[in-house]
Amino acid sequence: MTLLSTGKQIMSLRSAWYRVLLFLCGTMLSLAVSCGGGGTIYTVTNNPPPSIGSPSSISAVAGSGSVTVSWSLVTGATSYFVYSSISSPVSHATATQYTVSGTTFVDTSVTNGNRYYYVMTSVKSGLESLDSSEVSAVPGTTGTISGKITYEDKELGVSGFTGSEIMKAVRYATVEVVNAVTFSILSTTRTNSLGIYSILTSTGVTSVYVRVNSVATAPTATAPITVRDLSSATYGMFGVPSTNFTLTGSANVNIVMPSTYSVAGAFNILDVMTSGYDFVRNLSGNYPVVPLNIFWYPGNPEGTYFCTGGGCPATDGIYVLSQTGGDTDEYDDDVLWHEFGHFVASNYSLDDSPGGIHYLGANDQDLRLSWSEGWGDFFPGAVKTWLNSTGQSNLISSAPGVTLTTYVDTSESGGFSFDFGNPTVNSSYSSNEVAVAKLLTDLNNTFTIQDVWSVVADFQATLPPLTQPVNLELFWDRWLSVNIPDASQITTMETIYNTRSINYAIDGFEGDNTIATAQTYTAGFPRIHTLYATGDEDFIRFTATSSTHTITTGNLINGADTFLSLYDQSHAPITSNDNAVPPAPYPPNNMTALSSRIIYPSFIIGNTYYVSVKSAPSRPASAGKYGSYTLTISP
Amino acid sequence: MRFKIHILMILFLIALFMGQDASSAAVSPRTKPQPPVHISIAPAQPGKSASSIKPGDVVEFTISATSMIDTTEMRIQVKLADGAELVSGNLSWTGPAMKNEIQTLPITVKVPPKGNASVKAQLSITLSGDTVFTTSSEYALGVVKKSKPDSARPVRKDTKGHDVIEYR
Repeated sequence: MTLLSTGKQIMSLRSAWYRVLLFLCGTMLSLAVSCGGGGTIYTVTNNPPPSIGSPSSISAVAGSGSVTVSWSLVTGATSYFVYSSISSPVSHATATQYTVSGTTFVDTSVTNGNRYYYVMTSVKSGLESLDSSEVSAVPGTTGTISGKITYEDKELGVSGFTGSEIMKAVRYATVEVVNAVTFSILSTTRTNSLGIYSILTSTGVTSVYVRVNSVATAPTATAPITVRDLSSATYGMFGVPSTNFTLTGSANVNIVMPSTYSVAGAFNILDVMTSGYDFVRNLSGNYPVVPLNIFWYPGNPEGTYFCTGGGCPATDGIYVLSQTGGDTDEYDDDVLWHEFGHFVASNYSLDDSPGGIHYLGANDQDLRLSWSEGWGDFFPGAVKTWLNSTGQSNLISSAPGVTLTTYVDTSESGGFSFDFGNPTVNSSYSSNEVAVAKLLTDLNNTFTIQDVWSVVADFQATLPPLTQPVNLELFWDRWLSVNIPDASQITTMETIYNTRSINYAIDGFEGDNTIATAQTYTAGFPRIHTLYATGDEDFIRFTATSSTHTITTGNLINGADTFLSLYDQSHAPITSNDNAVPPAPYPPNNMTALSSRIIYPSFIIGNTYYVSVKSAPSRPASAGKYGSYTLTISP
Repeated sequence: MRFKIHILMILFLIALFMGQDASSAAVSPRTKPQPPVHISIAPAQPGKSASSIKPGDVVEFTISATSMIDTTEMRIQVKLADGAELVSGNLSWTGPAMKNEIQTLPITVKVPPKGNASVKAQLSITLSGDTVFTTSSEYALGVVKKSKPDSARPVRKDTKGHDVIEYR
C-alpha cells in the first residue's frame, strides 16, 4: 500500500524512459544517490515502462446524490484508480483517490448541485498508467426549466416616444441556471427567435435561479453580440419568481423586463443589433464574423458613436448614450442602426471617413464623410424595409403612419425625426449626407438592396489596400463594374443621381479633351462643365480683348477640385494655378475653397489663347475626381 | 564618414517614427447625425464662470443660437428655473435666420440666495413639411445637483468567467 501510494507521487515523471522507484536507504541499487544520512535514496533504472493502457470510453453520469463513472475494461489491469475533484483539471495531489475494479464506480460522496471532475488510471503490478481523459457531471436528478424571456420596448413616433409599449422577445440570448449559493453555472442555453428557452439541469440543488445574459448568438452565427458596461461586464436579469428556488421536477421560469427597469434598455440594444445581424446574413449569406461589442450603462455620457482604429474608451465597438436627464439612445432604434451601419461598413466594406460631428443639411462635407454618414443614414430605413418585406414588422418599433425611412432620435432635451426618404432640408450634391442617403434609398427602391450591397461589399473584396478615397464616386464606378447595368438602367441611375444634382456623365462640351478640339468661349457667358470620366480635361479657346484677363473656376460642386492652365496661340504653356487661395488641409467642399484663378497681365489683344481645366492632381482626399465647375473669363 | 551615416540613419528613423505616429493616430468616432441647430449659454462678463457665480449675484448671460441651414422661422425660448429672476432682457425671440448666422439674446439674471437655479434655453427651427429641429442647453447656477447613483448591483461570473451585473 505504501509502495502504491509512493508510486502515485512519482508517476509525474511518466513521460521518461527512466523509472524512479523509492526504497529505503541502504537497499542494493543499480544506481544510488545519497539523499543524506538516514534519508531517502532514489533508484533509477533504464527498463521500459510497463505496457498498461489508460482507461478509455470513460463517462460520468449524474444521479441524485451520486455520480456513476464507467469505462472500458483494460486488459492486464489488476485495479484502477479513480480521482475525483471539484476543480479542473484534476490534480492527483488534491483529488480524492479511490481504488476500484470492474468497469463501474459509483461516487456517493457528492453534493447535489456541484460539478465533479474525474480522471482514471489503470494499475498493473503496482505500476500506474497515464491519466484517462477527464469527464464531469453535476449530481442531482435532471429536470427541465423552460420559459419565455421578454422585454418592453418603446414605440417611436415622429415626435419621440408615443407612450405606447411593445412586448418583444429576447432573441438568441444566453440563459443560465445559476447555483444561488456558489454562483456556479449549472446549465446554459439560449433563447430562440421567439424568446423561448428550455434547459436541462440538475434537480435537488437547494437554491438556483435563472438569468438571461446580454449576450446574443444567433443559431448559425459564430460571433456574439454583447452589451457591456465600460468595464466589459455584461447584464444579467433574474428570472421570475425572482427569488431563488429549488428545482424538484420541471419548472417554468419567465423573465419579463418592463421598460421601467433600466436593464431592459440593454436588451433593446441587443434586439436591434440582432435584426441588423439578420439583415447582413440575408445580404451576405453569413452572419458577421466579428464580435460586436456595445458599451452602454444607465447614466453613460459616452456616445453615441461607432469607434474603431484605436483611441476608444474601452475597445472597438458602439458606444451608446444614456445621460441622466439628457440624451438617451438605448431605445432609439434608428440611432442604433445608424451606428450598426458604420460597423457593417467597417467590416464588410471600406470606410475612410474622418468622422466627427456632422449636421443634417450641410452640403459642404468631405466626400468621405458624406458617403460614410449617408450610408449610416440610409441603413435604418434599409433594415426596416427588409424586416417589413419579410413578415417581421413586429420587430419594428415605429408607430403607425411613420414611414420606414424616418429616423427618430429621442432626447429629454429635444430630439428630432427626419425622413431620409422624403428629405425636407437641402439634399443636393455628393458632399451632403442627406443626398447620399436619399440616393441610396431611391436605388434600393428602384433596383434591389442586393444590388446596393454587392457594390458596397465589393469595395473590400477588390480594392484593399485602399488606393482611393471611399466616397459616392467610388460607389458609382463600382456599380458599373459589379452590376453591369444596361443602357436603360444607366439612364435610370443617372435620373436618380441628377435628381440630387449629382452628375456623373460627360457634359455637352465633350470631346474637348485636347487643345486641338477646344470649344470657343463666348465673352460674358460663363459656362458650366463637368469633370467626367477619370482623366477628363476640358479645353476652351478664347480671343483676348484686353491686356489683362482673369480666368476663374468657381461654383465647385460634387467635390470638384480644379487645376487651371493657360496656353498661347502656339499651344505653349504660359502659366497654371491649382488654388486661388491656399486652402486649409482637407477643406470643405463649399464651392469656393478649391477654386482656381489666373490673372495674366500680358495678353496680346486679338490673339487666341487656350485654357484647360482638369481635376487637380494634388487634390485632397476630402475632394473628388469628378464634379462640376463654372468657368469665367473676365472682363 | 561612418559617423555621418549614423546621424543620417538616426534622422531617418526619427522621421519614419514620426510618420508612423501620424498615420496611426486614432480615427474620429462615427457619430450620429446632429440636427442643424446649436445653442449655448455663457456669462457675458469677463472672468465669470459657473464656479464664481454666488447666491444673490446679478449675472449677464449671452445666449447664442445658430442654424446651419436657412430658415424662415427660428425660435429661441429661455426659461429661468428654481428661483432665478429676470432683471432685464427678453426670454424669447422668433424670426428668420440665415445659414450659420449667430443670433444672440442678452439677458441679465439674479441668482436666488438659496437652491440650485438654472437658465435653460431651447432653439427650434421649422422647415417646410413641418420638420422641426430642436436643441437645448442648460446653465446651472449654484451647486450642480448630482443624480442619485444607481444602487450597487451584485457582479457574478458567466460560464466564461466574465463579470455579469445582475438585476433583479
